Amino acid sequence: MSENLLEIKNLEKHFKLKKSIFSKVRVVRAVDNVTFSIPKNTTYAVVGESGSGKTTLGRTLLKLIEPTGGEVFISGVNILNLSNKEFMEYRRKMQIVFQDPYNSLHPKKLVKTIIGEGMKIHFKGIGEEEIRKRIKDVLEQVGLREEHMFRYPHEFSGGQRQRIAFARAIVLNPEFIVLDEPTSALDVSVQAMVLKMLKETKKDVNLTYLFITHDLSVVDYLADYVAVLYLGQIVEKGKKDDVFKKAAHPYTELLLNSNPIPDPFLNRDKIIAKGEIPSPINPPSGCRFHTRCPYVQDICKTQEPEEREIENGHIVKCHFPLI
Amino acid sequence: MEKRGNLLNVSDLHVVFYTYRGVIKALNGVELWMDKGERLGVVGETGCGKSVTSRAVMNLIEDPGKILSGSVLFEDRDILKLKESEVRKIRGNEISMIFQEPKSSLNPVMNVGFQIAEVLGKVNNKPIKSQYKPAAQMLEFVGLDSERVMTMYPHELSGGMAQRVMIAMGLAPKPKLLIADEPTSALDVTIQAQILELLDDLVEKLGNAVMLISHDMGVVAEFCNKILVMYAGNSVEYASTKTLFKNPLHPYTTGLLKAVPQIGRTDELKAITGTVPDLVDPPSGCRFHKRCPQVMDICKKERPPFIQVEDDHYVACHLWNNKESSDEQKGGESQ
Repeated sequence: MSENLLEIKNLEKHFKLKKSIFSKVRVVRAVDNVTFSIPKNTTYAVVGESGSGKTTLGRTLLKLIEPTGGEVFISGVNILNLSNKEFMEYRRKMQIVFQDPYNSLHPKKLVKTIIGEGMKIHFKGIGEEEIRKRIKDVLEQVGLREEHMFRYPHEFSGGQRQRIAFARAIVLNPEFIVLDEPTSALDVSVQAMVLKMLKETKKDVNLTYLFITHDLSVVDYLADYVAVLYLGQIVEKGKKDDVFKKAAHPYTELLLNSNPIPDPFLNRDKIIAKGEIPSPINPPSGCRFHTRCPYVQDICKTQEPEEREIENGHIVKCHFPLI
Repeated sequence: MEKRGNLLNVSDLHVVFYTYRGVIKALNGVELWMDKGERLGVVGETGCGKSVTSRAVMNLIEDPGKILSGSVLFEDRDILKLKESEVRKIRGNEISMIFQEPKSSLNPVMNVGFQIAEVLGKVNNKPIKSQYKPAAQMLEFVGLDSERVMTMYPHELSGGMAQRVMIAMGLAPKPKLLIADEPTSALDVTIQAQILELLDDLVEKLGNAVMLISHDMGVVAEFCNKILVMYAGNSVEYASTKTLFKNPLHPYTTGLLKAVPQIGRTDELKAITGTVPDLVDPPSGCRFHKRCPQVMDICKKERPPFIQVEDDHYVACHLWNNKESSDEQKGGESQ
């Protein structure tokens, strides 16, 4: 296995809710004791339903939200201990692409400004001419043309905007990009193009991705590793093929089974989940999934399961793993 | 006009929207038909006219939109020619609808019990007060705890619960046709599976027809027995679900199926080049011709008719138009 670019250890983000006169301080454990590492030049997918904390996880490990505990190492350096000045270099190395391309680009700025702005901050003393050339290069890399830099975001379609957002991220020569549901606002025919572009660019410029999504079929297409998040905790992680073909956690099994498959010739029994994802304010005791688990037993309600390794990096947090 | 379905026949439907940018030609001769008790999936990308079609079926196109021409035969009544008072008897009675955003379709200041009782009161022509009991039964019918939910307000419901309430309201009048406009797109996959299962059960019991509008090929493949593919305001292909997936004929359908990522799929994704056209100024001829890999000269000039190529399989494409002449040159291209 290649070396790890990113190591996340016991990362935690707890949000305190406003206290009312009648209640104690309530805490949302959005990200709770999350540990995983991302090998260099791979795509690590984080999947989960809404409210599972996947977006908070992505932002916390970029320090866009200050974590309440844990460590994030990039190439061996704990970025959470750095001063703001020292952190600048790492800010450049770690970029993010947001979900909604309609809100994440400044409507009154030219594409040139949107993409070039970061370079003026991170590459001090860079000339106008060089910026222009670099923008042209990245635009071509993401499948747009040079003349597009003199247009405004509203002149582009959703897929094109997402390409611009991606160009803005790669123009700084980052090593690592968090992709937060980059294609969920796009139509399938456009999504396919953007996914291919992401895959190819990663190979061309040696990137490492953290891919946040709720869509398992996209994960299957893009990812090398996957972690399944439920109420702020990783319930299963490992190589994508291991997790998808030999799902060990009942929640992973449920997610895979719920995903509708565009194949009318396939006959399969659907597993229907009980209830809905509980509130992260007062997560269930013991195993957090026990309220919806079809295989629940008494111990699950009281005791939190330990993480156990099934094989070679395939880790599951369950008292009774399926394999 | 020939009738192709015994419940609903939409033919040559043209709808436009007048905006400051120009006239949006949203529907350009849509053809659609359904039999009683059938489940039709209407699929297509954003802006292809799926939702406009469903609203036109109920004559719900409002300003600045206008239905220019066409007919919507529901059984043997043309909905577009009926008086508003007569359409109202059909709408919400014989045809009902559930929407994508369940929470914004419910009245935020009325509790759930009242809202369902109100629907039942209208349907049964009885005072609302007398309808609370049947309303509670309706809630049980969709798998909710009626004692608790009856007095809840929409903001207290989760997305899945709100959609169940919408389904209860939609099915309360025992409609002949239920139009479900992206009923699960705002929900998580596990909840989506629950709602589809529920809908499947109830429709089985009540025997009504369902028009399921969706952008998700997986959802329609699992729920529907017929599929209509729409592109830029046109019906481009209609077939039974199995035929459509096994033997798609229109290049757009083929492209769409190849662009959908799927678990366990090993072949590379193939994107459709270009983007969905702007319907203020749609391409001439076949609206798909600018993105079509098999484009011919005629595609740029003439709009292909929606024709039957085999039993229960219709397509609007010049490749299939002159069957005799194009058969030799195409060979096995259909796969």
